[in-house]
Amino acid sequence: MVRYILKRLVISIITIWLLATVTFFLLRTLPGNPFQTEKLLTVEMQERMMSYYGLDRPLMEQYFTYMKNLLQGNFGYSLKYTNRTVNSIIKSTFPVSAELGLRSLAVALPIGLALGVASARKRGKIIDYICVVIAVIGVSIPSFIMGTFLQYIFAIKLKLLPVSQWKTAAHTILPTVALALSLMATLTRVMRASMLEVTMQDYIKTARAKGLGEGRITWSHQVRNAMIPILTMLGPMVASVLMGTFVIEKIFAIPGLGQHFVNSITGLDYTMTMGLTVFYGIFLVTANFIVDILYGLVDPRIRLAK
Amino acid sequence: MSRKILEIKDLHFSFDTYAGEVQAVRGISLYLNKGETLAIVGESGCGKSVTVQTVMKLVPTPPGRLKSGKIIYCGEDITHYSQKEMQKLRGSEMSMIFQDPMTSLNPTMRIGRQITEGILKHENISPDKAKQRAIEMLAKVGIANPEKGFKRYPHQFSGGMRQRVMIAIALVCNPNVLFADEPTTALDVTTQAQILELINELKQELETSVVIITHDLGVVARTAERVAVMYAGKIVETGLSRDIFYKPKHPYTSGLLESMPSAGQVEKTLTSIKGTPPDLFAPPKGCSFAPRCKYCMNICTQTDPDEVQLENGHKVSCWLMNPQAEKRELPGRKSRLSTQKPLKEGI
Ligand SMILES: Nc1ncnc2c1ncn2[C@@H]1O[C@H](COP(=O)(O)OP(=O)(O)OP(=O)(O)O)[C@@H](O)[C@H]1O
Ligand SMILES: [Mg+2]
Repeated sequence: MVRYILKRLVISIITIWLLATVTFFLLRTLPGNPFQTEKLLTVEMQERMMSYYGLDRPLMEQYFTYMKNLLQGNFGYSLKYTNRTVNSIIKSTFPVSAELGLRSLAVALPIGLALGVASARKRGKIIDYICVVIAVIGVSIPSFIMGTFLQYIFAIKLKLLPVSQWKTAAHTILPTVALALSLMATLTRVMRASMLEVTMQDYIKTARAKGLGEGRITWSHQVRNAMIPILTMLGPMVASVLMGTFVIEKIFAIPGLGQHFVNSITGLDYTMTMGLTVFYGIFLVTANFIVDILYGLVDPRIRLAK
Repeated sequence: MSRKILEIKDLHFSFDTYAGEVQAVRGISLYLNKGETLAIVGESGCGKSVTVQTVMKLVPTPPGRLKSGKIIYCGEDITHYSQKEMQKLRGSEMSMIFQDPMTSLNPTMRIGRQITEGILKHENISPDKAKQRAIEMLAKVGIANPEKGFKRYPHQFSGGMRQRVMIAIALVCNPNVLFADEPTTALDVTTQAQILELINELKQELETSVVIITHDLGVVARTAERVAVMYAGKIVETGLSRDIFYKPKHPYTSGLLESMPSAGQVEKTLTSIKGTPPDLFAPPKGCSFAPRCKYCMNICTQTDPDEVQLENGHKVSCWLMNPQAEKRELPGRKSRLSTQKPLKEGI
């Protein structure tokens, strides 16, 4: 087990290094410079800014400086937010995104899985159709439409909840629901397919031949096996959800991390993009590692193969 | 001195598919005596599995549909039993083991629990007692160190061992009837022999009646007192194993016997039956074997033959049995089968 964890750690570090390197050079191939977009700056001032941030040095030198800082966990200064480090921006916005993400997952996971199980069990019956319709709506309606729709109904028409912003618990409800709906839809769809797949397996016939009831078969034989594909998608899903969602954050004016992913690229904020990418990378690798451990708990074949 | 424990009368079973009705079973009648082993043989797709799974109501309906026929178990008509009623019979009165031991055990559940859950379903005993029973059963099917085996997962066993576990699951509640659907097809030859031996032993010990499905006549010779030969959803010939082996009356049976290798056979090449079984979407008029039959006559493609009764309950559906047909000597088994166990006398 220790060996396995060490091996995973080495692979993770290499992955992150590759990710950082590729992102670093790709960013520099984008046309323009970070200060071009600010119309007030003359060309001469832009050049002074470039040299202030060390961006006029040879590329390889910049790369090594960046890597040295990265090793110390230092993402550097943002090129757009004057005098703020990337670390401090992540520190202040990530908790907001993570909270929204966790709330949505807490809603979406149990409901999504339950609907998936229910619709697979009642395949072709009314419950199945209702679940499938919910899943299709959740998957196909973009969250900016869902978000504005929720705002219109619950905030503007019914005046039950605040329209936007992130202050009290009441503020969190609408964005949580908007985000949870799309997650739930995906989970329902995958769980339903996975349950149906398991239903076709021989061991379900064995269970039936033992005389077990249908409820018993679902709970003790199907659900656990059907969870395996769900776990596979859970790693990337949790990572991406906790990192924040640009659209939801925009609609509900939430000071989260998601907006920075988009803004930093359009603004050519090199350090910010780099910092976010590496942060996301570390997060994703960790999430997948946890999923692999969970895998072992669910599926004994994987546990013992290690 | 035997009693029928199970009887199937004129069973018709179809699948409704998008492409049309698949007539998987087209009028099957057979019975199983208490304590005997009946073998059902026939090519792939002739409806063997569907027949036995219909008895246990394990075929999902729809797409399956029981069209007509009767299933009688211990004198009780169970044809129209509900799933709830069947659950009481499955495992405790009749059990089934399947072809592929690699997929018929739940990969994420310990062996022990897969055995005890059946006991706990049918008998009112404590989990500890059930565990005791399961361990005894594992020992009985030849799992070395059964306490340890109890806690293991299926992937930690080899194919043969898993099939032993399947047998333990099937027999732990001491059912009257065991359906073994090609229990050795997925195993290597040595393991096959051991598993058949085990089934034979446990059958004696627990006084179980067995229906064994196979397309391997060697398996029949090792296990069964009686044989039913199936072709395209029908039984074409049935009788005592020795009658079927040495005096086959149906050209299909004879063909199966000819395509079977025998010990000491060196120079003769193996013969096979030419052609493929008919499409069950639209079974042909007349005898369904006619297109492949060496002895096919005009009448064969026109009308289905009636069943003819011979001695010892030997029955055959073939126009060659008709008094007006030319007499033919069909080749059967010449040599004694090397693996053959002594066949019991009479029914
Ligand atoms: N779910 C289903 N839907 C449609 N047709 C089916 C279904 N299950 C079985 N059949 C058809 O029923 C026929 C009999 O199938 P069955 O499984 O009983 O054959 P078998 O004799 O057991 O063959 P094998 O030796 O391959 O196990 C086949 O032609 C098959 O195509
Ligand atoms: Mg079969």
